Amino acid sequence: MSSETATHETRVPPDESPAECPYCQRPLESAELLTLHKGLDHWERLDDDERERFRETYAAESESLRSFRLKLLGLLVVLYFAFLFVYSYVTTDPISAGMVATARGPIVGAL
Amino acid sequence: MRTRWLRRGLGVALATTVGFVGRALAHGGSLRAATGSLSIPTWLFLLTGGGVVGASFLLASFVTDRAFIRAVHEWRRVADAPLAVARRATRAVSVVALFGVVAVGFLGPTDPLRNAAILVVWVGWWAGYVATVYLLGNSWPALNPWRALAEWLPSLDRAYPERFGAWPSVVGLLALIWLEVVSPLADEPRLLAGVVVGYSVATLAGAAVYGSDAWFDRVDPVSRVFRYYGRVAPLQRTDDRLELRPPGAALTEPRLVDGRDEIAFVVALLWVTTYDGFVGTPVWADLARGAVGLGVPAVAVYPAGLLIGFAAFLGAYRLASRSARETAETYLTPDAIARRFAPSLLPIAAGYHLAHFLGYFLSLSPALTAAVTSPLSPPLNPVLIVLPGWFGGLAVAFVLVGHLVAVWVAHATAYEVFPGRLQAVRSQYPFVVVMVLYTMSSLWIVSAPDVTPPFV
Repeated sequence: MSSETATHETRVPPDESPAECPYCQRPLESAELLTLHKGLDHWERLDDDERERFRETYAAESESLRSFRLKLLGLLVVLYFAFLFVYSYVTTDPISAGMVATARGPIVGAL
Repeated sequence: MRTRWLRRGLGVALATTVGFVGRALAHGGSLRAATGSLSIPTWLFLLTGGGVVGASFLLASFVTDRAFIRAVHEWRRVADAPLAVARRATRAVSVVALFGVVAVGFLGPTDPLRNAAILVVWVGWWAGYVATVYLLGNSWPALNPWRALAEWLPSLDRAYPERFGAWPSVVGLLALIWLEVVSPLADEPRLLAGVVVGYSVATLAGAAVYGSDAWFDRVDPVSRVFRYYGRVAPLQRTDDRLELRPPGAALTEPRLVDGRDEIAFVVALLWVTTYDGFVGTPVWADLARGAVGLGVPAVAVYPAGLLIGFAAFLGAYRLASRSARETAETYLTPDAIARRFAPSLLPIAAGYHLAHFLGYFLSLSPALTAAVTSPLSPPLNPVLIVLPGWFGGLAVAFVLVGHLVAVWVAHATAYEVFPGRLQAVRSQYPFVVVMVLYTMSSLWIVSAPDVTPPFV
């Protein structure tokens, strides 16, 4: 990844002040992204303080990803049940009805 | 690419020889046959296909461990392979094959199912060999008979005009597909042989002027198709070594697609596979008849459809790249984004190709073997394999697998391009929308009833 940073062609809107990478001059959208970028692409050139800051930022990012994943999971569940209901309304033939029954298998089995 | 004339011939041959009536091997081959027996309405079939791609994006987004993604994509096994020695032999064989195809095309039997030239080009090369390129690795540089001939011939070595870039190959690809769709190229051996001769003359002349490296690396559309398809494959060649990598892993590398011309070529590759199916649908038949009714000349309908559809595909992709700049809140230009994510479209094209051609290849392979072993007097009634009904479901699965690989490749690429992981996921929103729409339209094409394209 580090060798290709020069191929990053960027355009910064005139009213914004980007955080510029001191090693490859790539403008980044925020200080956090700059810290992440330096840690990912220029790890060898960082001193201990900067590496520590990268670790902290990466951990904070993982924290916010956790709630994002929950939203993803919610979306998947909605998608799954939406399809399940649509299929159970639309299909009348025995094969597809059987498929829906299999999907409900555990409940039927419990009864 | 479609070979409906051969398929139609095949259907007739089947009906007469084995008493098999129906359209199991009609246009679209096994795909159409499978979806003809759907027990759910078409809209739900399409929605499900789109839903699978959307859900796979959601699932891919769960993978947020950079180290894991990198490990998957950097996994490789390397082996030394002195391929340069073998190349001389394989090229000599393929030059002999090229002359054989032309000779049999002009002199062999006129029945497409018995003519070795037709069967070698469409069944052996375009269906079977192309599949090996994206499933195993790009062996075309070792086979390319035109390149072998060009390197034996003298060259002027003029400098290739840089401003043309890959555009001549985009035009060449669209022109080849147009020719395939409007002419009975898969039905008339004489015509096929003539086109092969024409292509050979143009290729050798071009290589003689600009040198074979410039010609086959930049201009020749066929070599470019194989180069891009080959990047999907697990075997990659680097200098004198062979690398084994996970399928699609080589697509995340930067600079694989460099510039608007190469983006256009990748999109064109995707579009031509779609176009080929689209002209066999009733919607196209109505559109074409309507346009001709309004006074558009019949000759112009097919190229116009080809270009309008290509422009629409390119426009949709560019629009997605532009919106990705917004959703990811990045300073990268839309062009830079478009270049990096273009290779993720290649597995889709490969999946669609496999869905189209695997059944076709398998059912015609005995005829191919028979015709190749005795090109001048092939058996009168070549053996054909009738595929079981479930084969069509397999074809739908290939279309979906192509999209799933594409979603994963785009996910991994986004992680390489963007320092923020949430930013990487957000950059994918517009592309996922485009991919879902694309899945639905290709599934719509394969589930539409098959009609003969008008005016050809």
